[in-house]
Amino acid sequence: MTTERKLQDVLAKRRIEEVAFRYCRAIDRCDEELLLTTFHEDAQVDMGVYVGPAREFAHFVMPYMRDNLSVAIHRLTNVLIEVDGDRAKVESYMPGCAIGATPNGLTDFPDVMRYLDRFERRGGEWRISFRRLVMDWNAGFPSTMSEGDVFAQMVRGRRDKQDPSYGYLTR
Amino acid sequence: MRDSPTSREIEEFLAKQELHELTARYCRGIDRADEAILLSVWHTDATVDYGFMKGSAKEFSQMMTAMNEQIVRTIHCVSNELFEVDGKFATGESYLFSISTRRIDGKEMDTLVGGRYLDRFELRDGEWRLLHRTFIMDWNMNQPSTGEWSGDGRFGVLTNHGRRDKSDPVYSLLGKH
Repeated sequence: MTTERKLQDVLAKRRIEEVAFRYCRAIDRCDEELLLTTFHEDAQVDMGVYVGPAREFAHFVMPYMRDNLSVAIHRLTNVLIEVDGDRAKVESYMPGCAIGATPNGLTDFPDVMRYLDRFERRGGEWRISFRRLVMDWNAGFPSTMSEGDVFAQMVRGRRDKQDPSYGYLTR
Repeated sequence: MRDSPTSREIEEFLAKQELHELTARYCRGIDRADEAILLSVWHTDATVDYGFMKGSAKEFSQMMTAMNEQIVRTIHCVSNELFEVDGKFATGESYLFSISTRRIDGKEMDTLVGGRYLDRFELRDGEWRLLHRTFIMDWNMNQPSTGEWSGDGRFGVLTNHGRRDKSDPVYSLLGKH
């Protein structure tokens, strides 16, 4: 492979990784509009709990996340990408955590899932054309989240467009 | 505006990308218990020091991917990868956060580990591979599993489960590694 070709591949991989990060950003900020920018119009998903068009998934998952979790953090590591022209196959690890209400009170839900994706570049733009969610590990503990002491003074993240990140990123 | 990158800078940049991918491929090999993937990250004469296992990387790979009824799952997440490239040699440090579940006397226990890989890499025949890996343990935490794997709850409804063998869904995505 020529150096030129290798550089093109790395550029594609960085673009794809940004879209994968933006997906997390959209989910964590409950931003359906932003979430839709990560999918092609005809994208499909297999989330286990839901299999079908990504557009419908986005419409269903956002209220679910907003109403059932008070905090959600989706991180990505181990993003492995294979680029083949305008197509790519991507595996990423998602160690995340969330807080949700249960009959036993607020509960911390740490978890690790994986995204298995097919990306396509259309009109110069990489987006997800198929995404499958794989559950690898989860746990639940009584939440010990503190709102006091030093934490009371810190700027809090929000799950809407009032989140301070909207003053920094345009999308 | 500064000059275009030199060919040396571009080589170094591309080398770091390869080392980054190698680091993730190691995790895929371990977590899917896939000996072929794991072997593909080492040179044939590579060595390891994991404390409990010091010696050939090949033997380590066989040991880590052998059938083990006790091990329910392993998950290796790497971050903070720092590489220093010097011609055909490179060194690196990466942070590991891992979760493994073991079945002991019918009960599942989760072990969370924070550690680091200290690596030596070599470029041979145009391919970067590991020549030596030392694992450093910085933190661990052990507790009974509280996972939810079925039912109507938050996690129970997510029915695509990761597997420690070739039935894991990643194989149908990639077709190869």
